[in-house]
Amino acid sequence: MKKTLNVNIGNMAFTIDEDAYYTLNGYYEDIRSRLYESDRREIMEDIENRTADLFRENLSFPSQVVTLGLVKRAIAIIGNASDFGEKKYDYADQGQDAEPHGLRLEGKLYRSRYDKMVGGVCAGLAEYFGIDTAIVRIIMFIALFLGSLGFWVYIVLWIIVPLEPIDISAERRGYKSRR
Amino acid sequence: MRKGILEYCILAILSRNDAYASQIISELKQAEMIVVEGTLYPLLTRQKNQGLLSYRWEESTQGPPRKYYTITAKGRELLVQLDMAWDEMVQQIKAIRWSE
Repeated sequence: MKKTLNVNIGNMAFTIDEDAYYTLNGYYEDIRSRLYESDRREIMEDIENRTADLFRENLSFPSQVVTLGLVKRAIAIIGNASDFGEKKYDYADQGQDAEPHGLRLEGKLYRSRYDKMVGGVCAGLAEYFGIDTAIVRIIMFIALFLGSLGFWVYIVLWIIVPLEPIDISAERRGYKSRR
Repeated sequence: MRKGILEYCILAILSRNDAYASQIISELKQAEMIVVEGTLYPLLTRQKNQGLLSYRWEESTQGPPRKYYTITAKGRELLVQLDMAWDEMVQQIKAIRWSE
């Protein structure tokens, strides 16, 4: 006896084995990570529709369960995820000199671990907004003379913004030293 | 290069008849232009975004509606140019391969 799940693929209902479900889901995730964001949703929809058609063609009656074997057969027809190009965050040709921007920080604000004078807040902000750390420091410095607000903002950020994880720092330094 | 040729083939197929993605795929497979079919979907989406083709939802033989692709006027224009470029290239290659 095996556990099954009910899923909707391409607007069709399927009963699918648990192991088959995880394989298929991992496959979709892998492809998704290799597509450009602008048309990712649409392409994934096409692929799901195609998977549904392939399943339907191979099931002899509607209540038959989609097995791991059937999922693997569909993947063989549609192609390995690697056929959809490189993973997006490895992409070297996103514009020749494009900073691997979303890559390290993925839009999360961190305090810098290495590029810091006090708490790494300025460097973290600079990284987040994609500007030079020196500019943020100058703004912060001016803010300090315009009243105590700048000071308190800094202190609050220092407390609530997490220190960046070590692997991110390492990646950044690797990137900088390559330059 | 291969991608460009595939896009050329898609336009050529659609210039004859409107088709479902699955029909385009089976034709390309028969011609041994593609082995796996998934990579075609990004191309179709790109060409649609460029205005070279469009689609409508059409009931398939059984089951839910599927995209039914059709070539646009802009797509036909491009196809004419591609046909000319292709013929020209074939001539040039011939000239080079068979020259003394």
